[in-house]
Amino acid sequence: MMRMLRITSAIIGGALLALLMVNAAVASTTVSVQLKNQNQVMGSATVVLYLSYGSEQGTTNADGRVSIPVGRGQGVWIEVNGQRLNHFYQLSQIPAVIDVAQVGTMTWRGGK
Amino acid sequence: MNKSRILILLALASLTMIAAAPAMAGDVLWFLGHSGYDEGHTQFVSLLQGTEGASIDVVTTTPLPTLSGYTLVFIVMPGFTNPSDFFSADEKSRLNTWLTLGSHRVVMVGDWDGFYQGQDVMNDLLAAIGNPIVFVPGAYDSGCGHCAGPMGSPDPLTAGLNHVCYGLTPTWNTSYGVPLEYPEDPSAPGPWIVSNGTNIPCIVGIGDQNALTDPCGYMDPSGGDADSKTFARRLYRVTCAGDPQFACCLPDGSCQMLTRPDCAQQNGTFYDGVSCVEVQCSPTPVQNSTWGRVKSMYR
Repeated sequence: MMRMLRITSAIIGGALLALLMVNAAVASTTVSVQLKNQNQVMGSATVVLYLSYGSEQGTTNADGRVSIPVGRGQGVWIEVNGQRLNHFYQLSQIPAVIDVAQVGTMTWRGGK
Repeated sequence: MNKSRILILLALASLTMIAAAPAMAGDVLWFLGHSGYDEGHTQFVSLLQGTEGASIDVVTTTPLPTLSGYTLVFIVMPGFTNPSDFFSADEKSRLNTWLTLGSHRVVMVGDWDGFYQGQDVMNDLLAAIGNPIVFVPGAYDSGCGHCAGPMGSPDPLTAGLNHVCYGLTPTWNTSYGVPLEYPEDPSAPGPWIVSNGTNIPCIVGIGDQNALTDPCGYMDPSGGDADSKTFARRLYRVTCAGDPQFACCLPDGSCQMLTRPDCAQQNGTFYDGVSCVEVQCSPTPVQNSTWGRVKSMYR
């Protein structure tokens, strides 16, 4: 009986560990950024994040700030009002403020 | 003095030659050069190294390194950050030469067209390496957890599998190759995994890098998705035509996963059913000599 309990505990423990590991793999983050254009804040701008698994969208407030939850992934292309920024950002290294004029935009060759 | 200078020059020349053709130690190449990119290969590397004994070199620089020693080459999202970063004629030629051995395989890995813009670079390379498969930009089934796409034609890489999981994927042109699996979305025009079905050349196309990389977790050695991991292992173990590859000890003491005929062609010793991690190869002892000296031993 004790042996069965030990085996059951081990199975449950293993399953919990597996669940924790799966959860760790899909830990979410939030991209928070203030957008400017030639140092002027960009209010009500449509922001789309392009990640490997899909896209996420948000709109900047009057102060040009937007926060968009991201489910997973490591890198992101950012589009502002339909213009793709000429820089590929790592999620962990997105600056607090992005000036679109300084970064520049690009012609996207991928389609969409 | 002059002798010292000559020796120094010779040493420098040797170093230059080593730098020009870096010698890699692995049997699998995960190539991110030509502006390529992936979303993390930790789980995939761990899976193949842990369960198959593979040794994976991750190369992020251009050009393509010397290919001798590799049996499997992944070319991952070339042109990702620069869609004009095409492979050179020399690189294409070296790939073509390397692909003339049936045990050698190229796996092209792409992603959906909102994220990946290098399809011209990928298709240009594919067209240059014979019997091409053609990448078609697109986006089907957003998000991770897509594992229910219908399987395609019977194929050694997917035989007995219920699925291979992906995230958000484009497709491959249905006019070329063998379709291995389609996206779940019924409007998708073609398969998201394709093989050209022949050993020479052996080329496999995977539409979505999330099938192999970390974000969706399918390759997690301690969890992940069993069928997807089996598919990944077969990429290492089986040729496009379905010939199994096992350990082959080569005359120089190295081990490669080769088919039996390819092992014989390389003057190697074949170990049926065994992977390289399970054998200890030793070089065939040789001694430099001349024909005259050999004959004199028997006079």
